[in-house]
Amino acid sequence: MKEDDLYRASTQYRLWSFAPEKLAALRVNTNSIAAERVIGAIQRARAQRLGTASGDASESEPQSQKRESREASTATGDQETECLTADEELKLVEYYSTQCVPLAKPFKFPINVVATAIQFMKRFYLFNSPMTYHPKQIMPSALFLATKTENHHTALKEYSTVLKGAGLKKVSPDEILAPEFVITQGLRFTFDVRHPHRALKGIYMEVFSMIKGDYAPIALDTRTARDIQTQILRLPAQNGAESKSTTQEGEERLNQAYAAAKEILGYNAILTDAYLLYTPSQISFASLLIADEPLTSFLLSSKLPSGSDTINELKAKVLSTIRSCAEMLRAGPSSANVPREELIRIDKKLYQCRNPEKMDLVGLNKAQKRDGAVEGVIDEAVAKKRKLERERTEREGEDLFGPSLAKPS
Amino acid sequence: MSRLSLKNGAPKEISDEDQCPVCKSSRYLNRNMRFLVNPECYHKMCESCVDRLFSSGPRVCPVAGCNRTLRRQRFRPQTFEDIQIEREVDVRKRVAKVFNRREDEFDSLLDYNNYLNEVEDLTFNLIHKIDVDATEKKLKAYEEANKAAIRENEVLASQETQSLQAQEAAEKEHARLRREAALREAEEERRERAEGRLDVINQLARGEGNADEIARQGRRTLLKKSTARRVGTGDEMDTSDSAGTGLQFKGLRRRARPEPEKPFEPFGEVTVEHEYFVLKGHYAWDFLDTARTSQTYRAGGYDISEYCSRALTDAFAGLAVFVGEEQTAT
Repeated sequence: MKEDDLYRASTQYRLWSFAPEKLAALRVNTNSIAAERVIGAIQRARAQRLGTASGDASESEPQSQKRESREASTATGDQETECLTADEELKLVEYYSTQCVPLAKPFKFPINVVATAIQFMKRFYLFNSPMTYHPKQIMPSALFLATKTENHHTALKEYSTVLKGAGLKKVSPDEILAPEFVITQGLRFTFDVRHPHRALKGIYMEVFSMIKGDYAPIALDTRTARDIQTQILRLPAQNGAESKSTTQEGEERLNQAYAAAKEILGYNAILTDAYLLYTPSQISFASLLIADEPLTSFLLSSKLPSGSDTINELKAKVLSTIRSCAEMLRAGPSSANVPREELIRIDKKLYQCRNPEKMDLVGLNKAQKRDGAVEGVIDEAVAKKRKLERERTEREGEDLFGPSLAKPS
Repeated sequence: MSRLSLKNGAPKEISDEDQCPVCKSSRYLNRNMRFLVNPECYHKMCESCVDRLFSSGPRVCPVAGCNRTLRRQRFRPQTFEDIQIEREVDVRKRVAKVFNRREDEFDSLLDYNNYLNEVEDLTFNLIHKIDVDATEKKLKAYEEANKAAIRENEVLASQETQSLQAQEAAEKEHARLRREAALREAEEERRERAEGRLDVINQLARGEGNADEIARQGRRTLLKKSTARRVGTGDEMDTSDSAGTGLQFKGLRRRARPEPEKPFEPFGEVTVEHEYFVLKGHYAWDFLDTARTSQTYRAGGYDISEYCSRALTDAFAGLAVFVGEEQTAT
């Protein structure tokens, strides 16, 4: 198995890598389906409300009543519900993803935890719409899930208190746990996220040994380690100026490039769509390309040494892919350019078009569990019956010889 | 009860067993009467009848309605009481002689079982006299066609029985030798004991030295001899055991020694060829050095080379994977 095939075997490649057109189409499709559902759900809610209003005014939670009345006041007048567009959805998700970074600061998580959380958000909202699940509900849960998948588990209680300190005022442990299964389902039960961070370290190790002169060239490369060392030390600087540096200076140059690339990977790479469009290896190469182009192309040419036409072709293709990835990284997340007023407008609009059936995630989560007696989902009577049954079996289970036999008539 | 029936004049009941159907003489008159059958028709008759009728050559069976020609040579005593079983065993013997294929001649167990089934069908037909002619023809044809193979298997089977017999004989011989050795030893010990005692008595009679001392000395020498002997025989036993002539079970198939188990391969023998890099044993980097030297990491068995290999694989895995193209193609 070659290294490329190794990546092709990952779920990131199989389920979460897309061609750019496909990605856009997918988002539009998700948006249109969600919009349909939202309209249907709102109409259903309205019909139910009319039914209950005309009949006996049943008691319900004051909270939901208030919500309903507010909804009624905005949604009456028979105006059609105006849903978010795919573009607006994307802006919203990106904004909330960006917020994940300051949110995770007090925890001092390593970069891969935050990166995983953001990727979870991105992947989740490929097949789900913010109209169905509000990003504000999903984000803390996604970060919590990421702490678990990346082996930095924090106790739920501690997590929620720290979050409160970080600015999320209203987040209870229940609210963090409730969307977990929904997210897991949205991720299609694949938690593996391949990051470019370790890849960059691998690149550093290779280039460092090149500069030191103890690099082990691959079979296709005919040069010796000594040749490579002299060549890499004679590389032109980023601005194109000729230079001839010592080992010390070479190391310095690499360290600078590495720090810059790390910076890019820590923010731009995780917040753009790069993970969905490129491989981690390409992303890390692209980040180094931004930091030090001559160094990167030198590394690439030593990995794909020019020889046969096929290799030259492949090299050109790889380089162009890396360049386009670098372009994307350089541009950074698009949400950075979206004015705040626009975001506020979208958020207000979202308030009108949220799916009322999926609003109470905590309640929905409870309803799926045993004896979840939430109005309209599981009847009180059914819950009571189940409880009685359970109690009876428990009582009977305690008898040494089981329940008494029915008396023969 | 039997006595009662005899008294009541019911000799007919015993006549079936003890009366010759040919000459009607009964065991009552001839105590040494033996019944013989011929596998040609399985009609029972007494020895004297056989002598009388067939001593001058082949003849037709004396039983009414049976027109088979019998020869004296083939008459034999009955093994089973039930004549049907007698016949069935004969048929089976005959069929088994022809169809003597072995399991290891077949590619799979299923083939062997199918073969056995076929043979059993033929045997059944012969026993129950269904399509006898056709079946006989088949049998003949098979015998003709596979003469060489049948012969070979016969030789093999006889070799096996011979080796088994030889083994049994060797075992017996070994047991006999052991028994004899044990007897000889016991005799030796007895003799030594007697000699020792005699020696002590002689010394005492001569009146040299202390009586108690002499007795103790005698006992000690005896003990020494017996322990020496015990050690010697023990050694002998050991060598005989290691020679492998001890306990052996019959009928064990000689099996090929199973291959030593391979080490467990968690990834299903998938190996990764490094296309883009050559893994070195050591990478100089401060970042790695902390993990390399830190007791905290090393105590848990953390191997920094694993990390190096992983980081480098990450760095180049997917370098030439073009997501845009490949995902639209599929």
